[in-house]
Amino acid sequence: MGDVLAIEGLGKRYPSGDGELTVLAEVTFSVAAGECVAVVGPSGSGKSTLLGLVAGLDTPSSGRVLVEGRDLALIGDRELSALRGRRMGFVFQSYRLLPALTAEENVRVPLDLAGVRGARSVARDLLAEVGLGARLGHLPAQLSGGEQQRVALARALAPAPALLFADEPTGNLDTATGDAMAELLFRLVRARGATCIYVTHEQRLAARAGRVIALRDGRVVEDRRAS
Amino acid sequence: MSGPPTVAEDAAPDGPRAPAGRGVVLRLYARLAWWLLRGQGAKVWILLACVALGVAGRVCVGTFMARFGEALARESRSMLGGDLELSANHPFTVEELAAVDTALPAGARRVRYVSLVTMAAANGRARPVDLRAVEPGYPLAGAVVLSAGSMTELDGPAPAVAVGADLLRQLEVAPGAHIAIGHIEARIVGTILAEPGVSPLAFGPRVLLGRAQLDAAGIAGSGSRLRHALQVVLVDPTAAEAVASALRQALKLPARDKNALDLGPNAAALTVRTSRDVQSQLAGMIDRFADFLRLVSLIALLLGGIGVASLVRGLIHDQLESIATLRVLGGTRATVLAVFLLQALGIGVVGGLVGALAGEGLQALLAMLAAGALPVTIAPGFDPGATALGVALGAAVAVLAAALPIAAIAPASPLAILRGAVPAGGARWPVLLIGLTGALACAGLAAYETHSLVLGPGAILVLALAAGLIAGGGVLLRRPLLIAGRALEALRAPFALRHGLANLGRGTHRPVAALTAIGLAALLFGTLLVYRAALLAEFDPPSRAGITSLFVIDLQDDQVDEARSLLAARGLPAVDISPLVKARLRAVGTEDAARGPARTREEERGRFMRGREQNLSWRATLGEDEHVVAGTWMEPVGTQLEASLEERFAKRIGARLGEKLRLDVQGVEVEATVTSLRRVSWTSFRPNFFILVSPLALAGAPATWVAAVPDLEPAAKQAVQADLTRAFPNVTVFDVQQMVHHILDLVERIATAVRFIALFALAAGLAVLTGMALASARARRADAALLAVLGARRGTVVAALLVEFAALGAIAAALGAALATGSGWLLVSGFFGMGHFAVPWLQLVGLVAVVAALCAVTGVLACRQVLTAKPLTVLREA
Repeated sequence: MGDVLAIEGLGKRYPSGDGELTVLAEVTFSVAAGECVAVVGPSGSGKSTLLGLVAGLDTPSSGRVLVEGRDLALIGDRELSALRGRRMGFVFQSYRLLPALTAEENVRVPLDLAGVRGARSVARDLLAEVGLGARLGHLPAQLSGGEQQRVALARALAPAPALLFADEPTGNLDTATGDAMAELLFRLVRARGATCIYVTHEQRLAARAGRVIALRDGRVVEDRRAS
Repeated sequence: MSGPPTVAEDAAPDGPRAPAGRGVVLRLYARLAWWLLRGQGAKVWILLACVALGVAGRVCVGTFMARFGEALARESRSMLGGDLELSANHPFTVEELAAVDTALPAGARRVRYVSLVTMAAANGRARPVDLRAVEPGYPLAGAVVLSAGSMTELDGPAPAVAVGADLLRQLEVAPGAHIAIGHIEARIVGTILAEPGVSPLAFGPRVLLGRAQLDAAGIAGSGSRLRHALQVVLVDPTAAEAVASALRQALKLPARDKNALDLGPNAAALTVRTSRDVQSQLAGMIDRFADFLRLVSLIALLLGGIGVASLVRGLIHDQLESIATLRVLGGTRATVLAVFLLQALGIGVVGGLVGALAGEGLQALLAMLAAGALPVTIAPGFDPGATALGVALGAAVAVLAAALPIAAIAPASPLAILRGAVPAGGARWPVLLIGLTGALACAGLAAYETHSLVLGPGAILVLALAAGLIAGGGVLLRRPLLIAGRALEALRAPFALRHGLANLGRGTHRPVAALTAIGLAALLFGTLLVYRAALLAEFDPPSRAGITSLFVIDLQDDQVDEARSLLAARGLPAVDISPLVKARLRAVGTEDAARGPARTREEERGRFMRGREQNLSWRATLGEDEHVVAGTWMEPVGTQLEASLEERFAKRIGARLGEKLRLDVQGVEVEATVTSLRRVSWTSFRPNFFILVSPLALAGAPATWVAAVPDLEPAAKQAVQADLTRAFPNVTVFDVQQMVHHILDLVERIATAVRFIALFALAAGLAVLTGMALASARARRADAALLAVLGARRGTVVAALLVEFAALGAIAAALGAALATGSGWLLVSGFFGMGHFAVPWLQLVGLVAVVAALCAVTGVLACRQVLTAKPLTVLREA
């Protein structure tokens, strides 16, 4: 299979006081379609920044990111947004559901933005698939943490993305709920043949990936595939 | 070789996706806008209130004017007393009456009357009255309603009058009693309960007298200001304009210029007016008064805009995560812009509609407040045009006000927002573009609303400067507030006082927008107070010791010496008596006086001043209440024809020093050179004139004389007034104090209407304050919970809130009131050219106190959820 994602010499620096803080430096790797990659590392190692840059949520200070062969730096806001909305899905540690929208509406948003017909039934089917068929009209505040994360997963998978990014998807959940969430995530990703890149600091979760990339101080210190 | 697939390419064929049409995208954005908005609760209501309050005032004025226009259309025929009217400053000549006979179609009915200002006397009192000597059948259209008797009694052989109720009170007489009018004693048959066409500007009550008695009364002398009128009713009223046109042609009058300013019936020697002319003249008069109402309502709208900008900024701040999430899910910058602009548009439309409906309802109240200053009765009603304008204004203001904060957020990096960074602002050019568009729109709208390139844009400029100064003052005062808080701590002042002041000093809850809006509302009210104080100072009796108490007009040449003797016998030897000659201005320099544009109020005033009948006079030396400000005072015995102009008059007619004025002095053309400009204190009520000319210019022209009787005790004044009326039946003697009361009463009615519209601005300011309080509610709840944990009682928290909001109100109002002294001075001295300026310190302090109290109550009410939340719940949420 070809590479769905290629990262070349990626770096990110933020202004800090009088100088600059290097969060990422010279990160290079590629990910093949259908691969499942865990990005691990201690706090502040640049994991979430890497995920954000790869997803085109911010611009790198150096290097480039190619998604399905397209350099994110060379495409405009419109195309980048379309790429995010149609080819990528996101799951965040703190769910990032739109608080004023019901579960169903939250799942519909990327479908609506992508101009998908029948968004409502797609959203309902997905929510049923993650076990929330009875909670369609609930607002995020009316759902438990696990339920919110399942809505976030349904939302991420709604546009049938080629790439799913997850940033500490179980980080805000208790062990049992986290395990169930991880199970659901891997099952649904596998079923859709999507590429999955997730950030975690939990060894158990990292161990389930086919490949683990370890970061330390913004640099890749290990890139290991499961045997 | 084919390249990688593009998003557009891969979107359609293999999934359920389809390229979205504009309608679909718009629906999606609208849905997202609604989804995001509905979770904002009370803030949305306050946003709607900001827009609604801004719009309500304008719609109120718009509907009021529309209703007034309708009332005029309904009543103008009866106000004129017929379908058309011919009026002249002389008895109609045989030729003129023959022309009328030729021009009028068959079946047209006609009736004549003479109107003049004269004196009525009884019980040793004399008062000026607005007299109409009418023929039987008057009025042809509409009806005079009397309390007793009938109009036919006026046509009897014995003199009889119907009088306005005010005259009965002024002369202390009752129906059945007799009053003296010139040489006759007329019996009062009844009081006039209703009569169409009575002007609220008339300087005396109406008296109706039989036409046949006029000559016997001896009041229609050559100098009397009288008009001879002929009312006409046609068989087909719709033919009025065509008949009027034929009549003008037959009388060799110029055709009516549609663009010409209607100067009213007294403008020319001979005029033909239709009911439509009356309508346009009165509509124009009230429209000039409405300029101020519209300007004040525009200020309310701008304050609403400040509220929208401030609240939208808060809303966006609250929705930063949602915005970032939207971007993560595929939303573009344009999506974010569109969604939030649609939110603003929706709020603008709904708020505009609510405000428009409120304005429609409140119009009846405005009509009631202005009732005494209007010649017609306004019926309540709905005006779709004003409502549509209100909705459009609401939408425009909301979108424009929201555009700045939205433009600032749209380009922000989603990742930065998700990491908790607050975007610092967008690119400069969109912000500049929006700011410039807003400023131009405000100035343009203000010019349009006031029909003036001076008043409207000037007011907006003053407002913008004031907003900057108030906002800057608010920021600068933070440090002193913190220092005051620390000083109070040293003085062991109550905790609530220190905490409230420190909260405001820290500026944590973004008080600048509320401070600015409240300050501007206070500036508006303060300016109105300063204007009122200046007006009272201008006419204030204590400051006018030795000032004229009676003003005598229409003295004839042969009456001047006799009048001097009479007044000297009353102990008044030094009476100022000036000649007065009627004239018309034909040209200023090479410019024809009758021409010139009238697109703005300034041009309109210039044209009016050039076109009106001019009162010319001469004098050997300058009066005590005037002085030359440019040029040199004329040589009274010189051979050159010179003119001295009052400086503001000169500016309005566009005359400069050295320029020639061509005057038509009762048929004789005279050319005089402007050699000096004078500044005149008009409120001295001495005979003063816009144009003074060399005596030579008026040699041989028929003149009347104007006398100013100096300060008199009330009893002596009454006696002199009665003596003059008895001795000279043709003269009119005005009591200056009564004139002043009349003017002040009219001005007060107008000012009340303006203050009523200004209330919308204050309410909009309070809405901004409420928005600020709501935006800070979460932080305040956390503060209050912590204070409760630390032992503070609810009363302490309430007191701290009261202190904070009262201090905010007091600072804003104090800054606004301080600036009002400057804006008031500009209005009083610069715009109105009044000679007196006074700062009503006590009233301004009262304004500050009232605004502070209103802010304290509004702020605490808006923060009531802070007081009701349980500390544990709040701390858990935190």
